[in-house]
Amino acid sequence: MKKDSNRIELLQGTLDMLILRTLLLGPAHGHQIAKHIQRTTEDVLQVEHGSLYPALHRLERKGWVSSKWEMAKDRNREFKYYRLSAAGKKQLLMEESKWKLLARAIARVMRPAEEG
Amino acid sequence: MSWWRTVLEWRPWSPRQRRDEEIERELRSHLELEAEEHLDAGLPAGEARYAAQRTFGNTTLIKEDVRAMWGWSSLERLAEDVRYAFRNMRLRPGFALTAMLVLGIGIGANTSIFTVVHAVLLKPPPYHEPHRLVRLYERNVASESIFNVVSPANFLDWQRDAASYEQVAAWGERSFNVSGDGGALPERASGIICTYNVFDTLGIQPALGRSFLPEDDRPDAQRVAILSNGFWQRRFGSNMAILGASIRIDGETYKVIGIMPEGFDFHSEEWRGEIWLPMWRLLPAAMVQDRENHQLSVLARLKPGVTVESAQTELDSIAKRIKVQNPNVITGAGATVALLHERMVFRVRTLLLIIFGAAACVLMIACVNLTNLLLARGVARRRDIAIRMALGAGRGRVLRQLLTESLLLTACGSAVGLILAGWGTPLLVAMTTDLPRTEAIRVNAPVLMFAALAAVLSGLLVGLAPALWSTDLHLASTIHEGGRSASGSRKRRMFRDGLVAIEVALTVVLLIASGLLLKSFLRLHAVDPGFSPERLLTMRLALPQSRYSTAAQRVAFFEGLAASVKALPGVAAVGAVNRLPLTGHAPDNTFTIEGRPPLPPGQFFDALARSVDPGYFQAMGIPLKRGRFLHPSERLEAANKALISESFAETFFRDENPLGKYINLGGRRRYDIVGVVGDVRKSLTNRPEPTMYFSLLEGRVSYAAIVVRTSLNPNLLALPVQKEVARLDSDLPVSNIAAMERILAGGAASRRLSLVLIGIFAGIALLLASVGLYGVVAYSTQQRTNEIGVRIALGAGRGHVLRTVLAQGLRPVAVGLMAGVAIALAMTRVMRSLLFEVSPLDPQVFAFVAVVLAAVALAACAIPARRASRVDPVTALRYE
Repeated sequence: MKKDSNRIELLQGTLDMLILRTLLLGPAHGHQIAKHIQRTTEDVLQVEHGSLYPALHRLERKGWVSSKWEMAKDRNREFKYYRLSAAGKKQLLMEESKWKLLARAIARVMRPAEEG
Repeated sequence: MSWWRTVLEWRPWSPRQRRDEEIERELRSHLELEAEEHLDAGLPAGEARYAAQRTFGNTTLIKEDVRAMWGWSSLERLAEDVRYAFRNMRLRPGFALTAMLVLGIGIGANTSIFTVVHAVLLKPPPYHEPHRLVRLYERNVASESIFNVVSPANFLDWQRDAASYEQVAAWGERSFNVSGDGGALPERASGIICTYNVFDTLGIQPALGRSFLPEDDRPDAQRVAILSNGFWQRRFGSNMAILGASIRIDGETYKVIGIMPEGFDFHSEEWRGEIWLPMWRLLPAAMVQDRENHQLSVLARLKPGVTVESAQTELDSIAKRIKVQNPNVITGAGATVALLHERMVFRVRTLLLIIFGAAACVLMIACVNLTNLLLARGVARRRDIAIRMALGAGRGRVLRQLLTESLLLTACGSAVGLILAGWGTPLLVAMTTDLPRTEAIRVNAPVLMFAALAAVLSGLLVGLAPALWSTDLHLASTIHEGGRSASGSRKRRMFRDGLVAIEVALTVVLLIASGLLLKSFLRLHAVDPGFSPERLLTMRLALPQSRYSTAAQRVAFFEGLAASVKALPGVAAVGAVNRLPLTGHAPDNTFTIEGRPPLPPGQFFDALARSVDPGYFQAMGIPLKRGRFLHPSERLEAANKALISESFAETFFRDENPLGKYINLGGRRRYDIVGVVGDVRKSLTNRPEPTMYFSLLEGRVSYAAIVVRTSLNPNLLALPVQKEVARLDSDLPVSNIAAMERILAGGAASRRLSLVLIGIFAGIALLLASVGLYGVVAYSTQQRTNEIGVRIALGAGRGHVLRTVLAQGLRPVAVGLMAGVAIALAMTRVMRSLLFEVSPLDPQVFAFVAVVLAAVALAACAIPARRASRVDPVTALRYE
């Protein structure tokens, strides 16, 4: 396994939030979700397939996303599209606020060191 | 064996398979997209795919992870366990088949007997609100019995005075001659005379026509009859036209008003009603006032909310009052009230429960045996289990899997058992003669539930201990040892010895029970009935009042029949008696002896009384002890001679010569004792009772059994004798044609059944116990092979090894033997009722059982012990 030094391992639990956030833009299949996260973080966050799919199925089992096999618009093939459910939206809001809280807390701890 | 695999992996209910396919498809589409990207980046097609695969990682692992995400449904887990169990069973088909067969026999025997117990003992009789139906009896009339039939006058008083009942009804057993109209043979049918409300009380109505009405049940009523369904089918071919038509019964014309429903099988102690007639129409007026003529069976329906106990108290006080008002009358000192159902089954209850208990013992032994086998296997599988638990399987999960295995075994065993029961139950019913309500005995829902419950319970019983043992591990040490736990823990060994002891104890109990039954059976066969039953043909007939109204007519018939039968070729002797011995009820009578001071009021001399013709004693082979037989010239008025049995002479003429003494029969004439004859038993299990014989030629008695001593096979004479009867009276039916030896065998039928069944169970138990013992000893010696090898290498003698192994194997046997004997000692009360002239503590039986068991146990231990003593130390140590 090649390992880029400028890539960051995802924190436990954050992948779920990122997936939900991605799906807020509209339904997407697994490949699109992975690519989207990778692109928007400018390849800093690499989504391992080994965590992506179990995570997707976990979210589906919890009822935060629903899935359906649909024809892709751009090509003549079916993909399994995931869609954010109402419960998923609520969950996303909760995770977001929790994340902000965490980020702020970490920032408070880190800032003095940075300044000093 | 691909079909087998297909069967095992076919899971139409599983959502898992569908989900697996979906994940597969999802991942594949992702991979393809990834490959396309690489292709776009300029890689050649083959490499693009590899690159995609590389970035993607281990697809199988992802699939597993996703699958774990969804978890397993409990149903899937069960299916998985069952498949695994099947696979295990297939690896050791011998073990699985043996286990199923052993369990099948155990569960089958229990199910069979439960089928009978359920139908006969547990299921209430098929009448309306059967818990309110009771039988009423007089108690302590002239004996200790508390279940005595009731006299008509007492019955009427009870019916009038007792407030506990909605209805009180009575019936009596009678045989009727049904005339042969339209070419049919005349026939003797078993009938019942009853008060009009018997059917109402039971809550049963005729299937066709109507029930009796109060106005049918009066001395001046029109004669009406109700027929049983079976009699209607047999005699009249289910012809509807018989309803309202007339039939001739005992020479009188009766109108048939009803046919009872099919399956209405009202037993009153072995009597089957084929024809029902109203009672008060038939009983002579004098008898209605009679308190001494105890002959009626009484049935009553309790008012709602009235208990048997309070009804008992009330009726007892009424009966006591009657006794006080009539001090010199032979009547009950009180009364007994008992549930109808209880009275229907009391004869068979103990027998059935003992057989049920024996079957349960066999199942227990089978289970214990399997537990032991599974324990041994559990040790062999410890490593497998330890690895699984090390890989993260929880103890609960492994336990559940092991229990599934044993439950699957017992479920298969139960299926085998149900097949055996389906086949064995009719056999069981056919072997019994005195079971009431055999028509209700069939495999039904409660029986299936019982089989299922037996399977589950025995599955848990069999599987729990081994499963707990084999999952209770110190993982590291077990894996390290390679599953060969050196000596097995001491506790485990004690547990297994304990199981052997239980097996042996139960086997001992069964062996003792069957030994006692066998001894009683042999005793019973050795019983001298007091006459010689070989080549003796018997049949019954009854002279109808209408054509044989005078004593002279009756005497002439009996004399004529005896003379013409005697003239038949092959007939050695012929006689007649009102009631044959060994055929149930024997009439008794109170009497006084002339010249003796009168007994205090309320006390009576009582003895069995039979009426016989002069040829009876020679025909039966009853020996004359003193005096002489009856003489053919002593007939009618001159028939005032009596004979007595030896026990009569001993009881009532201890130091006197009975010959020439006179017996007075309650106000009737006096009889001159002319002879003493040998004792005859009224049934094989009863001690001979004092009996007095009067002459049939008195002409009082209108029914008789004919006994014909033949020089050939008695059955060959059945037809010639019947022809002689028909020649004398073509409208006189003959019934109960049977060789005396068959009657004798019939009396022992239920004993034979219990003997055969418990004998079979004891045999199975002994086999299972010896196999189990062998298994335990063989296993533990095998485990100790290298220890024994070391001992021998160090100089232990082979005799010493042999003795050690034997001693170790026989220790639990000794414990079990003692426990079994103790249980058998505690069970004497239960067994006593099934035994005949054998004490439940018979030392011979106990000693014999102990010897047999010790010998079998010794043999079972000797084989592995000899093998152990021949262990080659070099091989044993190399084995290490």
